[in-house]
Amino acid sequence: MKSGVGGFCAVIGILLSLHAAYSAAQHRTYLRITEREYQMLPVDVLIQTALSLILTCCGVIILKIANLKEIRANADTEHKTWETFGNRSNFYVFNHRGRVIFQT
Amino acid sequence: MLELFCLCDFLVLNMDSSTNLPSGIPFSQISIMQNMGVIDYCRTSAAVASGCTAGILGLTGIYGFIFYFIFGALVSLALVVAIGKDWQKYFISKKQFVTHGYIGGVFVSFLRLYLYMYYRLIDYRLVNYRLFYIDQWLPN
Repeated sequence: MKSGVGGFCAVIGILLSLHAAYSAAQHRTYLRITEREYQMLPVDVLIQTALSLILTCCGVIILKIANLKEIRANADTEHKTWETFGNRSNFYVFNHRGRVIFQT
Repeated sequence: MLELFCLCDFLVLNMDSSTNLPSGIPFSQISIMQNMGVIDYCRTSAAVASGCTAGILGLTGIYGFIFYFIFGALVSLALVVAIGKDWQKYFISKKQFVTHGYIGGVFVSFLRLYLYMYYRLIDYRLVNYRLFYIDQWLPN
């Protein structure tokens, strides 16, 4: 669900591309069997190939462009409080009077 | 905050081109690297897809190269459109996502897929040689 429209486009594009490759190979085989000279692929295969290329690239770009991060160094720290940064685990003290006060 | 800045050796000080002094905005090297990785990923996938397409279409000679360069320009355009107006949030300069990876390692992935598809779909010489060889030596 997270990949959304980009992943959908990419997968459809790859499947279309595979189908176009199969069609092209079949067309070549047909030409060889009937011993005709190769001129051009059929127009529907051409259109499908171009469409699959565009779909795949757009899908991948849409999918990956969401991973961009802001390059400002404090972009992900500016909403954090001082309590988060001031939390130094090396300076934790456990040997204090609380041990006696909060005895169970 | 001062302590944080002292600890961060991955910060890059942004140099102002007019005064040649740091402009005061520190950049995060990790974010820059991740953004370049995203661009590399897009370029490589586009090169692989266009290589497959060139092979399927059966382009030969100079047309394969022309196809690659035209499609690379289209990918640059798509990246510019996709990143949009606020590209300065994600990249230091426009060069980083317009021309980065246009020529170089990405071209190799294009070439590999192109040749693979071409020899699989169009040029059957390798397969035909073997069949020819077997036909010659089989009795009748």
